[in-house]
Amino acid sequence: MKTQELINLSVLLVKLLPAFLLLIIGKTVHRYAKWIALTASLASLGLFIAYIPTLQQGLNTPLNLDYLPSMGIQLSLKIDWLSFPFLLTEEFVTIFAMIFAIGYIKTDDRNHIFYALLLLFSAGMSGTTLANDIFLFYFFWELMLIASALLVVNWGESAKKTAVAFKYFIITHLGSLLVLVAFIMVCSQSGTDHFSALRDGVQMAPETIPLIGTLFLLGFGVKMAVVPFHIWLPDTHSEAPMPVTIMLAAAMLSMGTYGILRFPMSFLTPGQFAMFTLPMMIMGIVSEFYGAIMALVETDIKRIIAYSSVSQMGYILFGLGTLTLSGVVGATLHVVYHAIVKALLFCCVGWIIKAVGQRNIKEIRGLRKKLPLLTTCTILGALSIAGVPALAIFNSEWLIFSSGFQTPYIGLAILEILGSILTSAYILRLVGTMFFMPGEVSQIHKVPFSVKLVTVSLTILTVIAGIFPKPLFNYVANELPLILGGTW
Amino acid sequence: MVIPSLQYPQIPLLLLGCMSVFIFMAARSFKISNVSMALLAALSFLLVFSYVIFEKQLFQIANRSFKGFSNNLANLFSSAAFYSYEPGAVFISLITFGLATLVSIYCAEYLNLDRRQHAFYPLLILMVCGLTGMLFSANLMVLYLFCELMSISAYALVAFRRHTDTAIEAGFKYLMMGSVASIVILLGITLLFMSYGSIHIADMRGSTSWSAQIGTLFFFAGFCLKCALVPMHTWLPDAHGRAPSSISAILSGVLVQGVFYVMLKITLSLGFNHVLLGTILLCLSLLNIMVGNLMGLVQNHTKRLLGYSTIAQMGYITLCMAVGLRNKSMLALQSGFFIILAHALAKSLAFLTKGVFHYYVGASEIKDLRRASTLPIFPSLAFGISIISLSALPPFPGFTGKWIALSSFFLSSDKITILSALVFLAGSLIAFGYYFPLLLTLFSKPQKKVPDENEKKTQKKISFWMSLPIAILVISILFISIVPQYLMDTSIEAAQFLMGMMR
Repeated sequence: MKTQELINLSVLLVKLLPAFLLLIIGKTVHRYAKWIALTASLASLGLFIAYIPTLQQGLNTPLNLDYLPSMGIQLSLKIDWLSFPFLLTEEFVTIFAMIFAIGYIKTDDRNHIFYALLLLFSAGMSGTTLANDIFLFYFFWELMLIASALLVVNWGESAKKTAVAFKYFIITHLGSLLVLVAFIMVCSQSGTDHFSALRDGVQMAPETIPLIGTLFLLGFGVKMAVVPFHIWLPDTHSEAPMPVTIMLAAAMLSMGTYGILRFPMSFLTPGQFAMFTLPMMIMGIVSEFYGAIMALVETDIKRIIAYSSVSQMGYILFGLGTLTLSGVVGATLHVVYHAIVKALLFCCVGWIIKAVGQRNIKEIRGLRKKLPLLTTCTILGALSIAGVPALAIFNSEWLIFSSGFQTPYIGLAILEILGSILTSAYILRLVGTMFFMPGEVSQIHKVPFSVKLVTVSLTILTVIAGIFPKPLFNYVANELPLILGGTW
Repeated sequence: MVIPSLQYPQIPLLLLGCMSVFIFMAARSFKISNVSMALLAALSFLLVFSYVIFEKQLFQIANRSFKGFSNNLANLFSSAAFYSYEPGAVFISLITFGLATLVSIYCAEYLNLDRRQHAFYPLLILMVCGLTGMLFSANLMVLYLFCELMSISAYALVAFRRHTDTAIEAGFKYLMMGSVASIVILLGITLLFMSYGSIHIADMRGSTSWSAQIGTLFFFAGFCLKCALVPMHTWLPDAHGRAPSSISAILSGVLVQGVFYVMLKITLSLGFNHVLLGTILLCLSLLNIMVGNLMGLVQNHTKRLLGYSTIAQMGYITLCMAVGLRNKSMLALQSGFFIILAHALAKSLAFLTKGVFHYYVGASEIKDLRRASTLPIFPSLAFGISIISLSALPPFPGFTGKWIALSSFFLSSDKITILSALVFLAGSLIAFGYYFPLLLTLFSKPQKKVPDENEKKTQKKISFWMSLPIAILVISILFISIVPQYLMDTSIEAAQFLMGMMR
């Protein structure tokens, strides 16, 4: 077993082991739980970064482990260029959320469980991206769900939390079951669950291909919160404690995108996948419009940002659906940028809630004079999500928009662009009301330093990512073209 | 060379019978303590467990396969009365003995809640003895006798807490329904005897006379009640919900499944068409899945809820076996055995940890589980593991079993099989409706109360006798989750045996 292979495992273990230790014997060290969790996630990020040179040299061999040979199940872990942007996003978001939580969550004697679950949630996401076989993928996929549901139910912000967590769990689990059916169909037809073996060409019965593709898209669509399946998202995101919301919105939503890229788009040839193009583009546009309109009429600032996620996922689905290089690369880049910007916006909202103690947009007025730093950060984040050039999201939006014109459906591409006007509308309403409308909030509370730190650093990241898109672009575009044809 | 394989299932049976009498006599004459009785019982279960394992190993070394049984001697305790080596029975009896050992150890502390322990252990041993006898019997009369032995001990154990009305009610209900089943079974056996002129299963095959047909049907119907197939399930939630937790662990974990396996085996060897049997069982299993899961949603008593969960899980097991019979699919049968073990471990763990909560914090309703937070986190984690395994989430064996089952379902091109796979999935989704709140209540914050003097002093410690079985169960669940291939290999013989039955 080589060192490179072990790093695959240790990226995970470095989070999983502290999580279990904290769960079991954490009561004695609950005061230090946050530092343990932060160290663990930093270590995980460090190991991941140390792995990048190996990845560049193409030495990223999988770590294999026989599990259930008679069913063809072999556990396997591997980092490749497809999982790279998702893993990167997830690791960074975890660290930002952890730092945010240190100031935001009050220290009590159940702290260790909170941080253990946060670590498990994060490990679930990194495991999902690291997994190189279906069984392990599904395991981490469910771990992510259980951990986040437990976080919402125990640390939710209002009395509705149990009902909300329950809804979240059942709906997303329904999605998981659809994916599971597709997985089992693929596995039982091909006799293996290893990604590499599956990518090398699975001979699937032609009549099952539409069914498998649909199951995958529906299942991952639930996780992505594409419109008819989005109903869990606004409640969950507004109910969850802010650090968990950051992780849910910025990192977990992207797992649906990863699933679509990894499964239906990789297993099926572009020719086979072509039948899903139009439905995906249409669903993308519907999500985009619906999310934006709902964000326009909501009054709870946390829910506004939550609906904005639905809208942004619409862009991503549209980009994937075009099945062009710029669309797919744009969608993947959009995942990363959206993570940064959405984390930033939720941090700003968290700051406002901490400072003002209000979530209703009608009650929050004239923050510009009182909180200038927050105003700058929020405005940069808002401009970014509205697609203003030189800020993060513009680059990926450009790619997605241009991809629309490479397809025969020019009308859809134009609709897609028109949709972004609505994005500007709701973001202007949010920023304009809170910062520029005349009025006063009665009292400004003190905000923890860690909240400010995370917000400011995310703002800087937004600007940097917007001005220098090239390194990230190169990383992302490394293997993605292979999805559209070619051998792995 | 003749290797003494499990040619003599009589040995464990005799040993168990003697031990029950011995413990009863010793307890009456010497007033020995609860712990020593429990350990004696555990020791006897451990002895038979290791005996069966030992014989199984010898058998595998000798590389022999099941050759049936001889019926030269019509003596009750001759080998004609029992299957000499029957892989499925060995599989289930091993689970039974293992669980019974753990439960006896557990009772060393748990039974301090009750009096009359001197009756408890003999009854427990007799119940296990009855189940083992049923599993190995190759003779319908012996089967019936052991079935009655098992049932009567089970009735008594369900009503063991006779100072509560509910236990008496549950025991009475179980007794009434069980007796009806017994009578129907006896009627079936009589008809079969009338038709074949023999009570040996080996002699019974292929008669088309009405009495043989009706007899098989009666036999089947009676056993359907005993293994709680919907609509004959109504005794189960009461019985399993009101029995002491330790008994519910065995009842739910292995007793029902053991009876089901016996029913399957005997019905097949009576010449029942395997496709027809599979179809009937498939319909019943779908009912089981739906009724068990839907009724589970409205329960507020933890053990009743677990009882309904057992009904649903019986549905999954029955479904796997039924698909195996219909399609002659080895994999489906294997998955059935896989789920039997997975369920046995998880369900008994759930009941045992539930017993811990009951014993220390008096939690019996679901909402009382909150109080578990005053205990160490160990039983809560164990309960969580068992619930997650029951609700078929990875990586626990419940999920692996589901994966194998669904793979075998999707391999077939049969429409009904595919549809039933969807019911399977729908059932496991509905099941979250009751499993998930259970988890949530367990791990949610305790309600703020006025600090009480009595409560403050106790960060309670959990007795060694209770934590040991729980730890062993947790370890075995983790073991199966890490090395599921081991269980697959173990269940292969049993599945082959059932395959051989289908002709």
